[in-house]
Amino acid sequence: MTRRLLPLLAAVSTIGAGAILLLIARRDMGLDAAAASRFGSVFIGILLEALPYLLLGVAISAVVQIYLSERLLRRLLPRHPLLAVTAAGLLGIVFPLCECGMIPAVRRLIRKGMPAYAGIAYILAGPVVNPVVFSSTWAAFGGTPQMAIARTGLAFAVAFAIGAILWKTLKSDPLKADLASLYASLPQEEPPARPFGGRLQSAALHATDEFFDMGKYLILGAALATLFQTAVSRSFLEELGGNQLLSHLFLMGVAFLLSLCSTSDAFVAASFGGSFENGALLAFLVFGPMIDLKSLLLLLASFRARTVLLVASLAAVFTLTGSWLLEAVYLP
Amino acid sequence: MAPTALAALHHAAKSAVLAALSLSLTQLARTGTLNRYIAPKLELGVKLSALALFALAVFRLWIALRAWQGDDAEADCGCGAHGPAAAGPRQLAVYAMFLLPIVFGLLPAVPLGSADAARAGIHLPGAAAEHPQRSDTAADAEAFPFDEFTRPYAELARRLHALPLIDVPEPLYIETLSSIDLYRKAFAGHRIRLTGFVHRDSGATDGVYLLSRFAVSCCPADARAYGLPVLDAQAKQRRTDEWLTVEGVLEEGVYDGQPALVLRAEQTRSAPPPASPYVYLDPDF
Repeated sequence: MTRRLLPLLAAVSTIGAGAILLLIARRDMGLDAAAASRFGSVFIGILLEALPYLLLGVAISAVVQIYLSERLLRRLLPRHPLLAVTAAGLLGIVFPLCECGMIPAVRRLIRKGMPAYAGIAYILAGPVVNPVVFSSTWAAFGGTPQMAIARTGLAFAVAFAIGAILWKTLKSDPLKADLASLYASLPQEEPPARPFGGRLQSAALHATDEFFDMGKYLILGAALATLFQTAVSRSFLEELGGNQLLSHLFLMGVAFLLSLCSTSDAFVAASFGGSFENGALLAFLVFGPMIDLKSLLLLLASFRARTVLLVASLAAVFTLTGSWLLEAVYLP
Repeated sequence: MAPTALAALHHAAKSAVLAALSLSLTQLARTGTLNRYIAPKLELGVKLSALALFALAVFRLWIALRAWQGDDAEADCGCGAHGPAAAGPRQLAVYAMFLLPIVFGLLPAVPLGSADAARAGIHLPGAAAEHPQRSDTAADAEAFPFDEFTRPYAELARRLHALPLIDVPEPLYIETLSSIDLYRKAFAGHRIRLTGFVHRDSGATDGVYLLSRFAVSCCPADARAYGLPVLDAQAKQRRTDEWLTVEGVLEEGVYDGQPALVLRAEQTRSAPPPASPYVYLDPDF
């Protein structure tokens, strides 16, 4: 009994000590309290922006888990893998979820038998290839409508290419091995029909567990992104990125660290406009929503590290090549 | 501890965390302080999330009570997706992590200010830079030439130009300053009244500071600072981050070595910090 209580006591005293430290810092170091409060504004801002999408994502995931049978899913998906990847890349037009909501929903769909390459193509393309993001990019780059078109096109192309490569190369289950996937791989008999109340209860259980599972990575990712945001000055970044050759790569790195939501990053990109060429801004706008600090942690929570690293490096290489090409032939 | 009691404890802890999150969101919405963290267009989503979290908290509490009585819902879910309740400090640390945002939310409100403007970089009202002015040949003769992207700015400029004093309104803050900047020549000599906080960057001198506001599109992570250079005889006495309402005349001048529209202050008075710390782009503009 006492041994079980030990961790609880440890946690309570840690929180208590933290609170006391905070109070001391607040009273004796006025400046630090303001800094902490500003950190809080950005940190909570990022979390609140993502929260509705995260809840929507876990709700969809729970509904998929309880109501979508594997047979129905197989019927809905296009049979040919390349068609499936295409459909997945365009799915965001119908289901515009942001990546915080997408990852739990897709993880569940893959467990239900959706091919992983199609699921990953949706995760990569969905945050960009959707009407909300298209219109915000259009608005932010009012003078150059090519940006919105190039952004959507390149994001789809990168997601399609990665989906196709994964279709050819992915041999084993890319999901992290846990109890759930272990069970899912067992031959399944049709579960006995359960009353509505039971199903609802089961859906709510799944939704809350997944909220905690995904939420902890979201909080960690948001904290790291905020740390970067509040500690590093943007003009410093712009000076660093002055080199033309490296500016694409550099802005991709910035997009990764800033972890902005894909609906608002176009405005930030437009504000970099004075210091960077359009091609580099395009790389920022395509790579950031696909892979950033926040979504990388969410991906690592669901997929094997090898798969995540493969997907992230492919996305980086394709975005870089694509944005260079488009800068040469299409962008003003 | 008996396994049923341990399971009940975990359900109860989850319920408590969900309830705490929901109640703190409700508190933010009730006191009208959500605008410290997100744009008004996102508030509905957050309020609905608070409701959903509360419903889940009640549900988990009910599951906890049932588990206490030896009837664990997870055990008979049958989907195999629930591991045995992970006990120990790791799981408790996860619960504590979810309370972290609440702790930060309890800190006194300090909206973004001058120090953040230095970090995020300040923008002089920049419609001209973001929307290169390409006037249609037909419109060239007009005082406010426009193309398809600057049309709303030209219309706003025409309305503003007819006013004896431009009192920059909060809902159209960025749009108003952008319009004026786009047609600098036409607005030189015009009277304007503007509220913002004092910010100083490399271009600030003894007689000049920037009167600034933060524009947010979703949350403070994407905040951009906008500022108009103010020529003020008493500039030295203005504290950085102080909120001021400045009335004066617009002039074509130079700021930080670049041609810029500047405001020559005539009347300056201190202003209370505005209720909404940030300004937002009007989605209908």
